[in-house]
Amino acid sequence: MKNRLRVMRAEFNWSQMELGMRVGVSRQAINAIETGKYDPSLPLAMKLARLFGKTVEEVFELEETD
Amino acid sequence: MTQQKLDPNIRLLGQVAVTTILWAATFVASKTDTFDHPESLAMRIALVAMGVGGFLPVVFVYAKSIRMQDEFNQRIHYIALSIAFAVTAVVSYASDLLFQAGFIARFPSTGLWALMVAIWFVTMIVTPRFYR
Repeated sequence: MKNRLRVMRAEFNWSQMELGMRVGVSRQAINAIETGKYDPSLPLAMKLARLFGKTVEEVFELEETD
Repeated sequence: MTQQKLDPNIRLLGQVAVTTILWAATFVASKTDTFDHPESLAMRIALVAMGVGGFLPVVFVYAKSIRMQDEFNQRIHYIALSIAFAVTAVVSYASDLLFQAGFIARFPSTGLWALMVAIWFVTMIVTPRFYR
């Protein structure tokens, strides 16, 4: 699954640690999501999207291989 | 007057320390010569109850510590536990056959779970590298 998390985080000038604290996960979790190695649960994806004032579909996108 | 709550992580660390000390103490006590194949039934029951009773809180605290972590770290734990489980299964199965065939002495079950814990910790360190 692709995502625009890194871009959105940069727009808000937040570190991975800061973003993680805002949604209640570790820096490692944010890093794994940004690199596409880990797909977050639906509640976490919704928390992230809500934090940036976006919908889940605007942050996360299914790839053809998914 | 408001009472300040202790940070859950610090409270957990305290629980880990206390339960580990309790377990170490009961483990050492249960391995002394005094308790080596006792004759009285009460002593035998006390020996098992002390050893297992001292160990169960450690398991409970570790389970609690996993529950307290975020979903990503929980996943790492589950992967590590699965790998540790699989390796333990293979080692116990193989060691039984090797013992039966007369190649090795019987592998102690305590050593087996010590191996499982060791694999769990090593996998916990290695697995996050695949998510970078």
